[in-house]
Amino acid sequence: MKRAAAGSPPAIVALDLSVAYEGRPALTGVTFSVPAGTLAGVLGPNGAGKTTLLRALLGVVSHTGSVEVNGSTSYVPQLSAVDRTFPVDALGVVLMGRYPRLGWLRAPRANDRRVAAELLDQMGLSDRARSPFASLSGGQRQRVLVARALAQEGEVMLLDEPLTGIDVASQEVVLQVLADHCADGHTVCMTTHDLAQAARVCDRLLILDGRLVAEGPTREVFRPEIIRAAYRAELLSLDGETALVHHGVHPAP
Amino acid sequence: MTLDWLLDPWSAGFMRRALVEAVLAGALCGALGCFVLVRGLAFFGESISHTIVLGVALAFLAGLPVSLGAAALAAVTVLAVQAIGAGGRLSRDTAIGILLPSLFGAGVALIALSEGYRSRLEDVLFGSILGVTDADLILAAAVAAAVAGALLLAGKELALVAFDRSTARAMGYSVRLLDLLLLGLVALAAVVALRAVGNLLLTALLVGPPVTARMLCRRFWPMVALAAALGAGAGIAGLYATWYFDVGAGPAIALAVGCVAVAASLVAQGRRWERRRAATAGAGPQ
Repeated sequence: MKRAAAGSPPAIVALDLSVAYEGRPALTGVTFSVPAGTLAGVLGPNGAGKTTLLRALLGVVSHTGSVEVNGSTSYVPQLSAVDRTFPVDALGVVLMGRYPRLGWLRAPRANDRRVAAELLDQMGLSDRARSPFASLSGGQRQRVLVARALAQEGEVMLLDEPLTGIDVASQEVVLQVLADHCADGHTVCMTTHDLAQAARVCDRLLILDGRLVAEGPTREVFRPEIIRAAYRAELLSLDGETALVHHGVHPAP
Repeated sequence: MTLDWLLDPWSAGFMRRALVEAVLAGALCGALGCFVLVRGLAFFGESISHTIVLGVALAFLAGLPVSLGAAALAAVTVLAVQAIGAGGRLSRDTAIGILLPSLFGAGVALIALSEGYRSRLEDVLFGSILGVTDADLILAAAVAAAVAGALLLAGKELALVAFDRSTARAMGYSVRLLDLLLLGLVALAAVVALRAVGNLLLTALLVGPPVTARMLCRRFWPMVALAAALGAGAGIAGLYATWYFDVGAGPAIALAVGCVAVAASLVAQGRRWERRRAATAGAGPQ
Protein backbone atom coordinates (compact mmCIF):
# COMPACT_ATOMS: atom_id res chain seq x y z
CA MET A 1 0.00 0.00 0.00
CA LYS A 2 2.75 2.42 0.92
CA ARG A 3 4.50 4.08 -1.94
CA ALA A 4 8.03 2.73 -2.40
CA ALA A 5 10.47 5.29 -1.13
CA ALA A 6 13.57 3.73 -2.59
CA GLY A 7 15.63 6.07 -4.73
CA SER A 8 13.88 9.27 -3.64
CA PRO A 9 15.82 11.62 -1.35
CA PRO A 10 14.96 11.38 2.35
CA ALA A 11 12.33 13.82 3.62
CA ILE A 12 14.13 14.42 6.91
CA VAL A 13 17.84 14.17 7.66
CA ALA A 14 19.40 15.02 11.02
CA LEU A 15 23.14 14.80 11.63
CA ASP A 16 24.56 14.94 15.15
CA LEU A 17 21.60 17.07 16.25
CA SER A 18 21.83 18.50 19.78
CA VAL A 19 19.50 20.88 21.59
CA ALA A 20 19.98 22.44 25.01
CA TYR A 21 17.69 24.70 27.02
CA GLU A 22 19.69 27.23 29.06
CA GLY A 23 22.68 24.91 29.05
CA ARG A 24 20.67 21.85 30.07
CA PRO A 25 20.84 19.25 27.27
CA ALA A 26 17.48 18.00 25.97
CA LEU A 27 18.76 16.05 22.98
CA THR A 28 22.33 14.98 22.30
CA GLY A 29 23.97 13.80 19.09
CA VAL A 30 20.92 12.49 17.26
CA THR A 31 21.46 11.22 13.73
CA PHE A 32 18.68 9.73 11.61
CA SER A 33 16.84 10.03 8.33
CA VAL A 34 13.23 9.48 7.30
CA PRO A 35 12.52 8.44 3.69
CA ALA A 36 9.81 10.35 1.86
CA GLY A 37 6.37 8.78 1.99
CA THR A 38 6.80 7.06 5.33
CA LEU A 39 4.98 7.29 8.64
CA ALA A 40 7.59 7.64 11.35
CA GLY A 41 6.84 7.33 15.04
CA VAL A 42 8.96 9.03 17.69
CA LEU A 43 8.91 7.10 20.99
CA GLY A 44 10.49 7.57 24.36
CA PRO A 45 9.66 8.16 28.02
CA ASN A 46 8.62 11.58 29.35
CA GLY A 47 11.44 14.10 28.97
CA ALA A 48 13.12 11.98 26.29
CA GLY A 49 13.22 14.94 23.89
CA LYS A 50 10.37 13.99 21.57
CA THR A 51 8.78 17.44 21.43
CA THR A 52 12.24 19.02 21.29
CA LEU A 53 13.01 16.92 18.21
CA LEU A 54 9.87 18.23 16.48
CA ARG A 55 10.81 21.79 17.43
CA ALA A 56 14.24 21.32 15.93
CA LEU A 57 12.70 19.94 12.73
CA LEU A 58 10.42 23.00 12.59
CA GLY A 59 13.40 25.28 13.08
CA VAL A 60 11.91 27.07 16.11
CA VAL A 61 14.61 26.07 18.59
CA SER A 62 18.33 26.72 18.28
CA HIS A 63 20.47 23.62 17.86
CA THR A 64 23.88 22.35 16.91
CA GLY A 65 24.46 19.78 14.21
CA SER A 66 22.33 19.87 11.10
CA VAL A 67 18.68 19.29 10.32
CA GLU A 68 17.27 19.20 6.84
CA VAL A 69 13.59 18.89 6.00
CA ASN A 70 12.94 18.58 2.28
CA GLY A 71 9.70 20.39 1.58
CA SER A 72 7.34 22.57 3.56
CA THR A 73 6.13 21.45 6.96
CA SER A 74 2.77 21.43 8.66
CA TYR A 75 2.33 21.00 12.39
CA VAL A 76 -0.20 19.57 14.83
CA PRO A 77 0.55 20.74 18.40
CA GLN A 78 -0.44 18.93 21.57
CA LEU A 79 -4.12 19.52 22.28
CA SER A 80 -3.23 21.25 25.54
CA ALA A 81 -1.20 23.90 23.67
CA VAL A 82 -4.33 25.28 22.03
CA ASP A 83 -6.62 27.78 23.78
CA ARG A 84 -9.88 25.88 23.70
CA THR A 85 -11.86 28.83 25.04
CA PHE A 86 -11.02 30.94 21.98
CA PRO A 87 -14.17 31.95 20.09
CA VAL A 88 -13.82 30.08 16.80
CA ASP A 89 -15.72 27.29 15.07
CA ALA A 90 -14.26 24.09 13.60
CA LEU A 91 -14.24 25.50 10.06
CA GLY A 92 -12.45 28.63 11.29
CA VAL A 93 -9.69 26.51 12.84
CA VAL A 94 -9.14 24.53 9.63
CA LEU A 95 -9.01 27.79 7.66
CA MET A 96 -6.05 28.89 9.82
CA GLY A 97 -4.05 26.26 7.95
CA ARG A 98 -4.45 28.39 4.83
CA TYR A 99 -2.96 31.55 6.38
CA PRO A 100 0.67 31.00 5.33
CA ARG A 101 -0.32 30.61 1.69
CA LEU A 102 -2.73 33.57 1.86
CA GLY A 103 -0.11 35.92 3.21
CA TRP A 104 -0.72 39.17 5.07
CA LEU A 105 -3.77 41.28 4.24
CA ARG A 106 -5.80 38.59 2.46
CA ALA A 107 -8.72 36.81 4.07
CA PRO A 108 -9.62 33.19 3.19
CA ARG A 109 -11.60 32.93 -0.05
CA ALA A 110 -14.25 30.60 -1.40
CA ASN A 111 -11.67 28.05 -2.53
CA ASP A 112 -10.07 27.96 0.93
CA ARG A 113 -13.49 27.41 2.50
CA ARG A 114 -14.21 24.58 0.08
CA VAL A 115 -10.89 22.88 0.90
CA ALA A 116 -11.50 23.30 4.63
CA ALA A 117 -15.03 21.91 4.39
CA GLU A 118 -13.79 18.89 2.43
CA LEU A 119 -11.10 18.18 5.02
CA LEU A 120 -13.64 18.33 7.85
CA ASP A 121 -15.75 15.90 5.86
CA GLN A 122 -12.74 13.59 5.49
CA MET A 123 -12.37 13.74 9.28
CA GLY A 124 -16.02 12.80 9.74
CA LEU A 125 -16.89 16.22 11.11
CA SER A 126 -18.90 17.82 8.30
CA ASP A 127 -21.88 18.27 10.62
CA ARG A 128 -19.73 20.09 13.21
CA ALA A 129 -18.20 22.71 10.87
CA ARG A 130 -20.09 25.54 12.55
CA SER A 131 -19.80 24.19 16.10
CA PRO A 132 -17.66 26.20 18.50
CA PHE A 133 -14.24 24.56 18.94
CA ALA A 134 -14.82 24.66 22.71
CA SER A 135 -17.95 22.52 22.36
CA LEU A 136 -16.14 19.65 20.62
CA SER A 137 -14.84 16.56 22.41
CA GLY A 138 -11.08 16.05 22.75
CA GLY A 139 -11.06 13.57 19.87
CA GLN A 140 -13.05 15.92 17.66
CA ARG A 141 -10.73 18.82 18.47
CA GLN A 142 -7.73 16.66 17.59
CA ARG A 143 -9.33 15.73 14.26
CA VAL A 144 -9.93 19.45 13.55
CA LEU A 145 -6.24 20.18 14.23
CA VAL A 146 -5.15 17.40 11.87
CA ALA A 147 -7.52 18.82 9.22
CA ARG A 148 -5.89 22.22 9.74
CA ALA A 149 -2.44 20.70 9.16
CA LEU A 150 -3.70 19.00 5.98
CA ALA A 151 -5.05 22.39 4.83
CA GLN A 152 -1.46 23.66 4.87
CA GLU A 153 -0.66 21.19 2.10
CA GLY A 154 2.89 20.72 3.32
CA GLU A 155 5.08 17.81 2.25
CA VAL A 156 6.12 16.86 5.76
CA MET A 157 3.60 16.74 8.63
CA LEU A 158 4.85 16.81 12.22
CA LEU A 159 2.44 15.85 14.99
CA ASP A 160 3.00 16.11 18.74
CA GLU A 161 1.12 13.40 20.63
CA PRO A 162 -1.86 13.24 18.26
CA LEU A 163 -3.24 10.10 19.95
CA THR A 164 -2.96 11.17 23.58
CA GLY A 165 -6.18 11.57 25.53
CA ILE A 166 -8.59 11.02 22.67
CA ASP A 167 -11.25 8.37 22.10
CA VAL A 168 -10.52 5.19 20.15
CA ALA A 169 -12.82 6.13 17.26
CA SER A 170 -10.98 9.43 16.78
CA GLN A 171 -7.61 7.64 17.02
CA GLU A 172 -8.66 5.34 14.20
CA VAL A 173 -9.84 8.25 12.01
CA VAL A 174 -6.57 10.13 12.61
CA LEU A 175 -4.39 7.08 11.93
CA GLN A 176 -6.29 6.21 8.75
CA VAL A 177 -5.99 9.78 7.45
CA LEU A 178 -2.26 9.81 8.24
CA ALA A 179 -1.77 6.46 6.45
CA ASP A 180 -3.63 7.80 3.39
CA HIS A 181 -1.54 10.97 3.52
CA CYS A 182 1.66 8.88 3.41
CA ALA A 183 0.27 6.74 0.62
CA ASP A 184 -0.05 10.00 -1.37
CA GLY A 185 3.70 10.45 -1.03
CA HIS A 186 3.74 12.77 1.99
CA THR A 187 5.89 12.15 5.03
CA VAL A 188 4.48 12.03 8.56
CA CYS A 189 6.46 12.14 11.78
CA MET A 190 4.55 11.87 15.07
CA THR A 191 5.51 11.57 18.69
CA THR A 192 3.50 9.16 20.80
CA HIS A 193 3.40 7.39 24.14
CA ASP A 194 1.39 4.56 22.70
CA LEU A 195 3.90 1.79 21.92
CA ALA A 196 1.31 -0.66 20.65
CA GLN A 197 -0.28 1.82 18.26
CA ALA A 198 3.14 2.95 17.04
CA ALA A 199 4.24 -0.64 16.39
CA ARG A 200 1.01 -1.29 14.52
CA VAL A 201 0.87 1.73 12.22
CA CYS A 202 4.34 3.22 11.83
CA ASP A 203 6.72 2.26 9.02
CA ARG A 204 9.68 3.44 11.02
CA LEU A 205 10.41 4.16 14.65
CA LEU A 206 12.78 6.52 16.38
CA ILE A 207 13.36 5.75 20.03
CA LEU A 208 14.75 8.56 22.12
CA ASP A 209 15.98 8.95 25.67
CA GLY A 210 17.78 12.26 25.54
CA ARG A 211 19.83 10.61 22.83
CA LEU A 212 18.98 8.24 20.02
CA VAL A 213 18.42 4.73 21.39
CA ALA A 214 17.47 3.19 18.06
CA GLU A 215 15.98 4.05 14.71
CA GLY A 216 14.96 2.16 11.61
CA PRO A 217 12.10 0.10 10.19
CA THR A 218 9.57 -0.84 12.87
CA ARG A 219 10.25 -4.56 12.56
CA GLU A 220 13.94 -4.06 13.33
CA VAL A 221 13.55 -1.50 16.10
CA PHE A 222 10.57 -2.74 18.05
CA ARG A 223 12.46 -5.37 20.04
CA PRO A 224 12.36 -6.16 23.76
CA GLU A 225 15.96 -5.23 24.51
CA ILE A 226 15.69 -1.89 22.71
CA ILE A 227 12.39 -0.94 24.35
CA ARG A 228 13.78 -1.93 27.76
CA ALA A 229 16.84 0.26 27.19
CA ALA A 230 14.68 3.29 26.52
CA TYR A 231 11.92 2.73 29.12
CA ARG A 232 14.19 1.47 31.88
CA ALA A 233 11.69 1.45 34.72
CA GLU A 234 8.74 0.07 32.87
CA LEU A 235 7.73 -3.54 32.67
CA LEU A 236 7.06 -4.82 29.23
CA SER A 237 5.90 -8.04 27.72
CA LEU A 238 6.26 -8.34 24.03
CA ASP A 239 4.18 -10.50 21.81
CA GLY A 240 5.06 -10.37 18.18
CA GLU A 241 4.61 -6.77 17.11
CA THR A 242 2.44 -5.52 19.92
CA ALA A 243 3.44 -4.62 23.43
CA LEU A 244 1.78 -4.51 26.81
CA VAL A 245 3.10 -1.74 29.01
CA HIS A 246 1.95 -2.64 32.49
CA HIS A 247 3.05 0.40 34.44
CA GLY A 248 2.39 2.65 31.96
CA VAL A 249 -0.12 3.70 29.87
CA HIS A 250 -2.11 2.01 27.22
CA PRO A 251 -2.82 -1.72 27.05
CA ALA A 252 -2.60 -3.20 23.59
CA PRO A 253 -5.89 -3.92 21.86
CA MET B 1 -40.14 66.09 20.44
CA THR B 2 -38.11 62.90 20.67
CA LEU B 3 -35.98 64.07 17.78
CA ASP B 4 -35.29 67.33 19.59
CA TRP B 5 -34.31 65.37 22.67
CA LEU B 6 -31.93 63.28 20.59
CA LEU B 7 -30.40 66.15 18.64
CA ASP B 8 -30.25 68.82 21.32
CA PRO B 9 -26.91 67.74 22.85
CA TRP B 10 -25.10 67.99 19.53
CA SER B 11 -26.04 71.63 18.97
CA ALA B 12 -22.97 72.62 20.98
CA GLY B 13 -19.60 72.42 19.20
CA PHE B 14 -17.79 70.96 22.23
CA MET B 15 -20.37 68.15 22.37
CA ARG B 16 -19.90 67.33 18.69
CA ARG B 17 -16.17 67.07 19.23
CA ALA B 18 -16.76 64.95 22.32
CA LEU B 19 -19.04 62.70 20.24
CA VAL B 20 -16.32 62.02 17.66
CA GLU B 21 -13.75 61.38 20.39
CA ALA B 22 -16.09 59.06 22.32
CA VAL B 23 -17.02 57.04 19.23
CA LEU B 24 -13.40 56.66 18.11
CA ALA B 25 -12.05 55.84 21.57
CA GLY B 26 -14.91 53.43 22.28
CA ALA B 27 -14.59 51.60 18.98
CA LEU B 28 -10.79 51.41 19.23
CA CYS B 29 -10.79 50.08 22.77
CA GLY B 30 -13.68 47.72 22.04
CA ALA B 31 -11.97 46.15 19.03
CA LEU B 32 -8.49 45.91 20.54
CA GLY B 33 -9.94 44.85 23.86
CA CYS B 34 -11.03 41.60 22.20
CA PHE B 35 -7.37 40.74 21.62
CA VAL B 36 -6.59 41.88 25.16
CA LEU B 37 -9.29 39.53 26.45
CA VAL B 38 -8.32 36.41 24.46
CA ARG B 39 -4.64 36.95 25.24
CA GLY B 40 -5.27 37.54 28.94
CA LEU B 41 -3.67 40.98 28.77
CA ALA B 42 -6.20 42.91 30.87
CA PHE B 43 -3.56 43.64 33.50
CA PHE B 44 -1.32 45.04 30.78
CA GLY B 45 -4.14 47.37 29.67
CA GLU B 46 -4.59 48.51 33.24
CA SER B 47 -0.87 49.09 33.55
CA ILE B 48 -0.58 51.16 30.37
CA SER B 49 -3.40 53.40 31.57
CA HIS B 50 -1.43 54.13 34.75
CA THR B 51 2.15 54.36 33.50
CA ILE B 52 1.23 56.92 30.83
CA VAL B 53 0.30 59.29 33.65
CA LEU B 54 4.02 59.89 34.09
CA GLY B 55 4.23 60.87 30.41
CA VAL B 56 1.32 63.23 30.86
CA ALA B 57 3.01 64.83 33.86
CA LEU B 58 6.34 65.23 32.06
CA ALA B 59 4.57 66.80 29.09
CA PHE B 60 2.75 69.27 31.41
CA LEU B 61 6.01 70.37 32.95
CA ALA B 62 7.82 70.61 29.62
CA GLY B 63 4.95 72.46 27.95
CA LEU B 64 4.58 69.73 25.31
CA PRO B 65 1.34 68.17 24.00
CA VAL B 66 -0.01 65.80 26.63
CA SER B 67 -0.65 63.02 24.08
CA LEU B 68 2.99 63.08 23.04
CA GLY B 69 4.13 62.44 26.61
CA ALA B 70 1.52 59.72 27.04
CA ALA B 71 2.57 58.02 23.79
CA ALA B 72 6.24 58.12 24.82
CA LEU B 73 5.55 56.48 28.18
CA ALA B 74 3.27 53.95 26.50
CA ALA B 75 6.14 52.98 24.22
CA VAL B 76 8.51 52.71 27.20
CA THR B 77 6.02 50.46 29.02
CA VAL B 78 5.51 48.20 25.99
CA LEU B 79 9.23 47.77 25.41
CA ALA B 80 9.97 47.20 29.09
CA VAL B 81 7.20 44.62 29.48
CA GLN B 82 8.25 42.85 26.29
CA ALA B 83 11.92 42.83 27.28
CA ILE B 84 11.29 41.54 30.79
CA GLY B 85 8.82 38.94 29.46
CA ALA B 86 11.32 37.77 26.84
CA GLY B 87 13.96 37.24 29.51
CA GLY B 88 11.88 34.37 30.81
CA ARG B 89 12.86 34.85 34.46
CA LEU B 90 9.90 37.05 35.39
CA SER B 91 6.39 36.65 34.06
CA ARG B 92 4.85 39.48 32.11
CA ASP B 93 2.40 40.16 34.95
CA THR B 94 5.23 40.36 37.47
CA ALA B 95 7.02 42.83 35.22
CA ILE B 96 3.85 44.91 35.05
CA GLY B 97 3.42 44.68 38.81
CA ILE B 98 6.81 46.35 39.23
CA LEU B 99 6.40 48.96 36.50
CA LEU B 100 2.85 50.06 37.24
CA PRO B 101 3.12 51.48 40.76
CA SER B 102 6.56 53.00 40.32
CA LEU B 103 5.80 54.87 37.10
CA PHE B 104 2.28 55.85 38.21
CA GLY B 105 3.62 57.08 41.56
CA ALA B 106 6.26 59.16 39.82
CA GLY B 107 3.58 60.62 37.54
CA VAL B 108 1.26 61.64 40.37
CA ALA B 109 4.20 63.09 42.34
CA LEU B 110 5.23 65.20 39.33
CA ILE B 111 1.68 66.43 38.74
CA ALA B 112 1.65 67.57 42.38
CA LEU B 113 4.59 69.84 41.55
CA SER B 114 2.70 71.64 38.81
CA GLU B 115 0.22 74.47 39.19
CA GLY B 116 -3.48 73.62 39.06
CA TYR B 117 -2.63 70.23 40.55
CA ARG B 118 -6.16 69.24 41.46
CA SER B 119 -7.92 69.91 38.16
CA ARG B 120 -5.09 68.38 36.17
CA LEU B 121 -5.10 65.26 38.29
CA GLU B 122 -8.87 64.96 37.82
CA ASP B 123 -8.45 65.33 34.06
CA VAL B 124 -5.92 62.50 34.05
CA LEU B 125 -7.95 60.26 36.35
CA PHE B 126 -11.39 60.75 34.84
CA GLY B 127 -10.73 62.21 31.40
CA SER B 128 -11.89 65.55 30.01
CA ILE B 129 -13.81 64.60 26.92
CA LEU B 130 -15.82 67.83 26.91
CA GLY B 131 -12.57 69.73 26.45
CA VAL B 132 -11.13 67.83 23.48
CA THR B 133 -9.43 69.96 20.86
CA ASP B 134 -9.17 69.51 17.10
CA ALA B 135 -5.63 68.23 17.65
CA ASP B 136 -7.00 65.51 19.95
CA LEU B 137 -9.49 64.50 17.26
CA ILE B 138 -6.81 64.36 14.61
CA LEU B 139 -4.73 62.12 16.88
CA ALA B 140 -7.73 59.87 17.57
CA ALA B 141 -8.53 59.59 13.86
CA ALA B 142 -4.90 58.84 13.01
CA VAL B 143 -4.71 56.12 15.67
CA ALA B 144 -8.02 54.67 14.49
CA ALA B 145 -6.70 54.55 10.92
CA ALA B 146 -3.44 52.93 12.08
CA VAL B 147 -5.27 50.30 14.13
CA ALA B 148 -7.70 49.55 11.31
CA GLY B 149 -4.78 49.21 8.91
CA ALA B 150 -2.84 46.94 11.27
CA LEU B 151 -5.87 44.70 11.84
CA LEU B 152 -6.48 44.45 8.08
CA LEU B 153 -2.83 43.58 7.56
CA ALA B 154 -2.24 41.16 10.42
CA GLY B 155 -5.55 40.66 12.22
CA LYS B 156 -5.86 37.00 11.35
CA GLU B 157 -2.26 36.35 12.36
CA LEU B 158 -2.78 38.13 15.70
CA ALA B 159 -5.85 35.95 16.29
CA LEU B 160 -3.87 32.83 15.36
CA VAL B 161 -1.18 33.68 17.93
CA ALA B 162 -3.89 34.06 20.57
CA PHE B 163 -5.46 30.71 19.68
CA ASP B 164 -2.38 28.59 19.09
CA ARG B 165 0.99 30.19 19.66
CA SER B 166 3.10 27.11 18.94
CA THR B 167 1.53 26.53 15.53
CA ALA B 168 1.87 30.21 14.62
CA ARG B 169 5.58 29.87 15.37
CA ALA B 170 5.76 26.60 13.42
CA MET B 171 4.15 28.34 10.44
CA GLY B 172 7.07 30.75 10.44
CA TYR B 173 5.43 33.81 11.99
CA SER B 174 7.53 35.94 14.31
CA VAL B 175 5.30 35.74 17.38
CA ARG B 176 7.50 38.20 19.29
CA LEU B 177 6.99 40.81 16.57
CA LEU B 178 3.25 40.14 16.54
CA ASP B 179 3.20 40.48 20.36
CA LEU B 180 4.99 43.81 20.05
CA LEU B 181 2.51 44.96 17.40
CA LEU B 182 -0.44 44.08 19.62
CA LEU B 183 1.01 45.75 22.72
CA GLY B 184 1.82 48.81 20.62
CA LEU B 185 -1.73 49.05 19.27
CA VAL B 186 -3.20 48.70 22.75
CA ALA B 187 -0.85 51.43 23.97
CA LEU B 188 -1.97 53.77 21.16
CA ALA B 189 -5.63 53.12 21.96
CA ALA B 190 -4.89 53.84 25.63
CA VAL B 191 -3.39 57.22 24.74
CA VAL B 192 -6.60 58.14 22.88
CA ALA B 193 -8.93 56.75 25.54
CA LEU B 194 -7.06 58.59 28.31
CA ARG B 195 -8.57 61.82 26.97
CA ALA B 196 -12.05 60.32 26.83
CA VAL B 197 -12.46 58.48 30.12
CA GLY B 198 -9.24 59.04 32.04
CA ASN B 199 -6.85 56.42 33.30
CA LEU B 200 -8.99 55.06 36.15
CA LEU B 201 -11.87 54.18 33.84
CA LEU B 202 -9.89 53.15 30.77
CA THR B 203 -10.04 49.49 31.71
CA ALA B 204 -13.85 49.77 31.54
CA LEU B 205 -13.64 50.54 27.82
CA LEU B 206 -10.86 48.03 27.17
CA VAL B 207 -12.47 45.08 28.95
CA GLY B 208 -16.20 45.78 29.25
CA PRO B 209 -17.32 45.77 25.58
CA PRO B 210 -15.21 42.67 24.68
CA VAL B 211 -16.53 40.70 27.67
CA THR B 212 -20.06 41.70 26.71
CA ALA B 213 -19.51 40.76 23.05
CA ARG B 214 -17.95 37.43 24.08
CA MET B 215 -21.18 36.50 25.87
CA LEU B 216 -23.15 37.05 22.67
CA CYS B 217 -20.78 35.85 19.91
CA ARG B 218 -19.37 32.44 19.07
CA ARG B 219 -16.80 33.64 16.57
CA PHE B 220 -13.95 36.10 16.97
CA TRP B 221 -14.48 38.66 14.18
CA PRO B 222 -18.20 39.19 14.86
CA MET B 223 -17.13 39.62 18.50
CA VAL B 224 -14.61 42.31 17.49
CA ALA B 225 -17.23 44.15 15.41
CA LEU B 226 -19.82 43.99 18.19
CA ALA B 227 -17.33 45.11 20.85
CA ALA B 228 -16.32 48.10 18.71
CA ALA B 229 -19.99 49.00 18.25
CA LEU B 230 -20.69 48.59 21.98
CA GLY B 231 -17.69 50.75 22.89
CA ALA B 232 -18.84 53.50 20.54
CA GLY B 233 -22.45 53.12 21.75
CA ALA B 234 -21.38 53.40 25.39
CA GLY B 235 -19.54 56.62 24.50
CA ILE B 236 -22.68 58.10 22.93
CA ALA B 237 -24.91 56.98 25.80
CA GLY B 238 -22.47 58.46 28.31
CA LEU B 239 -22.55 61.81 26.54
CA TYR B 240 -26.36 61.90 26.62
CA ALA B 241 -26.19 61.22 30.35
CA THR B 242 -23.70 64.06 30.73
CA TRP B 243 -25.90 66.48 28.82
CA TYR B 244 -29.21 65.67 30.50
CA PHE B 245 -28.19 64.63 34.00
CA ASP B 246 -25.07 66.73 34.42
CA VAL B 247 -22.85 63.83 35.48
CA GLY B 248 -19.17 63.50 34.58
CA ALA B 249 -18.70 62.19 31.03
CA GLY B 250 -15.96 59.66 31.82
CA PRO B 251 -17.84 58.01 34.69
CA ALA B 252 -21.08 58.10 32.65
CA ILE B 253 -19.40 56.24 29.77
CA ALA B 254 -17.94 53.66 32.16
CA LEU B 255 -21.37 53.23 33.76
CA ALA B 256 -22.97 52.72 30.32
CA VAL B 257 -20.43 49.96 29.61
CA GLY B 258 -21.35 48.29 32.88
CA CYS B 259 -25.09 48.50 32.18
CA VAL B 260 -24.70 46.91 28.73
CA ALA B 261 -22.55 44.13 30.22
CA VAL B 262 -25.23 43.35 32.82
CA ALA B 263 -27.94 43.39 30.14
CA ALA B 264 -25.89 41.06 27.92
CA SER B 265 -25.27 38.63 30.76
CA LEU B 266 -29.03 38.51 31.37
CA VAL B 267 -29.63 37.83 27.66
CA ALA B 268 -26.95 35.11 27.65
CA GLN B 269 -28.43 33.55 30.80
CA GLY B 270 -31.90 33.70 29.21
CA ARG B 271 -30.58 31.87 26.15
CA ARG B 272 -29.05 29.18 28.34
CA TRP B 273 -32.37 28.66 30.18
CA GLU B 274 -34.15 28.54 26.83
CA ARG B 275 -31.76 25.89 25.52
CA ARG B 276 -32.03 23.85 28.72
CA ARG B 277 -35.82 24.00 28.59
CA ALA B 278 -35.83 22.97 24.91
CA ALA B 279 -33.46 20.09 25.70
CA THR B 280 -35.58 18.95 28.64
CA ALA B 281 -38.76 19.17 26.58
CA GLY B 282 -37.12 17.24 23.72
CA ALA B 283 -35.90 14.52 26.09
CA GLY B 284 -39.26 14.17 27.86
CA PRO B 285 -42.11 11.79 27.00
CA GLN B 286 -43.80 12.50 23.67
